[in-house]
Amino acid sequence: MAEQTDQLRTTFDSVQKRAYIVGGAALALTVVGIAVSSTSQVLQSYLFAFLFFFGLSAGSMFLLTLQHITSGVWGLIIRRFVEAAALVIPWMGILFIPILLGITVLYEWTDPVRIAEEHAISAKVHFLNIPFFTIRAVLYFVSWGLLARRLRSLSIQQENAPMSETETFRDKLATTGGPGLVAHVMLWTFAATDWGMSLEPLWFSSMYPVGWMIGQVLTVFALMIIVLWLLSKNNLLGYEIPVDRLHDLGKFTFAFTVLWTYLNYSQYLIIWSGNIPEETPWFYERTNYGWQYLAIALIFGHFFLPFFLLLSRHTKRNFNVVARISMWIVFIEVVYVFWLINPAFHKGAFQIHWTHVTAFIGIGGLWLAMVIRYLKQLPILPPHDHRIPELEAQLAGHGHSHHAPAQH
Amino acid sequence: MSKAMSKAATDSPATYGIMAEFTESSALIHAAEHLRDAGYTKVEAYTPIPVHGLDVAIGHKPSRLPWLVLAGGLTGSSGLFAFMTWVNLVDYPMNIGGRPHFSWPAFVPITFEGMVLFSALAAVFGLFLICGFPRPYHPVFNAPGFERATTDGFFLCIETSDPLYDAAKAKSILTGLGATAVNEFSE
Repeated sequence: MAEQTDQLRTTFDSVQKRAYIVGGAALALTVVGIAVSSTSQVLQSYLFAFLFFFGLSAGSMFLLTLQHITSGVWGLIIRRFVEAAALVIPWMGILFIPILLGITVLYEWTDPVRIAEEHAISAKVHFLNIPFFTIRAVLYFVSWGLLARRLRSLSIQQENAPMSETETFRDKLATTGGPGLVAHVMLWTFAATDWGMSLEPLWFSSMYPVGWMIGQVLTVFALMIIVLWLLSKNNLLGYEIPVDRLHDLGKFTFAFTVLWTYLNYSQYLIIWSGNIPEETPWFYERTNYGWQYLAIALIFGHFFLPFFLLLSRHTKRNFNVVARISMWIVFIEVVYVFWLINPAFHKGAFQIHWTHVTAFIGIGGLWLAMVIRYLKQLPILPPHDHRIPELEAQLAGHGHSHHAPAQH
Repeated sequence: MSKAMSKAATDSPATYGIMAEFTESSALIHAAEHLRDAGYTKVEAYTPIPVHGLDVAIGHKPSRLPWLVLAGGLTGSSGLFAFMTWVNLVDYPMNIGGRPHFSWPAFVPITFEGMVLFSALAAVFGLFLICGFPRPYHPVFNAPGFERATTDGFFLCIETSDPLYDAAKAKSILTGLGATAVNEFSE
């Protein structure tokens, strides 16, 4: 059950090829937007798409480090996928270059006129200036890259070592994973402040990075359910997902839906209660001028709908149903990131541009192709993971209904 | 005469069921599945630890408790939201920081807490209701060696109310399934 089947390899190859072609073409089309529309529009669309797909890798890094320290079988079945997505972070650093080049177009705090007229911006120039912003971005990508590569090299060593050393590797991975999780949360807190929050340099909220981070983790859980569903539906996985493990992923998706709502609502409630002019404009812009329809869609689509659908044990244990709920969650997270980013550029009127779509497909295509590049390198179920015997015992217990594979 | 008969009836109470003891949870599950497939419906298991899959093996229908909890949660959240709306709009309207009387963002935390409180209460008292608590007496404690159900014994009981109940047959089936002790016991 460890080796990748030929059929899976062929599927990976063909999906990867298509992702490169579609992604490359869509990015080229986005660049055409500079001539047809404007450079600033293209950069805005690009930033939105970049932050969404970076978020998938960031959420994967969170889960990769988390499952190394918590050690459940749910982590075993998603380990290779989140590992591959986390390894893409350094490549996302290359995709970040256009944002650095367009920094004066995107970020208001780079404008000398604004610095001169706004004391609150000029007071921040020691942190918000182009050289330091660039150094920080490099530091984030290098740190994330080192963490992902360290965990990957341990994975490769584990593959080549005998099963008898599995507990040594479990401990080594946990020893990197624990501090790695702390480092990840701190890196993302700074990165979210730099890349997202500083678009509106007068506004600040310590809740902003964490609310977004939990959205990323939720989306990666949903994505994992979709990926496992697709692979298992097409008999490409090589083993069957025990229904209890699917239930685990469904429960996490449910819990992170609630946590996302808790964090984002807390931020709103605190700013609404405080009602002071430094803080309220960010929400005012996002709950007026047409943007409020997205806000309402988020309340119902990012909370109520998945909450009530995932409340039942039956939906969480039904692969077809939970995969469809997961697709909705990924979609509504796109809306969430769009609602976080785009109102910063379009205060006073809802706006969406065709380059949002092309940039999204473009970066998404390249991101997917890179993830598959790493997925192809190792078996998708790590054969020497210490949790393998536990999974095998669950798969062997087919006679008992609680160990039954998830049905389609 | 009738007094004497009723006295005799209390002296030798009716049989409640037959209790089988197993030493392993896997043997218990296997036996429960066997009885379920053989058509027994009044079967109950008693174990010292939670045994995963036992509810399915024994043929229990899904519990009604989740519905009670859902009802409790919806009652609590909507009830408290409605209460705060009534207080702020009808009973005692106050100008708080110039905000509208119907300031729903401020109601959300209490709405949420109301949901948590009422669903927790529904879970506890719903469980009492479904289990028939409080119940100071239960016949299963008459089964010999039953006190081991809290330490290391796994027990399966077929009650006499089962249409298929036949002590001799049940005893041979249960012994065949690996029970270490099989005893009839009274109410």
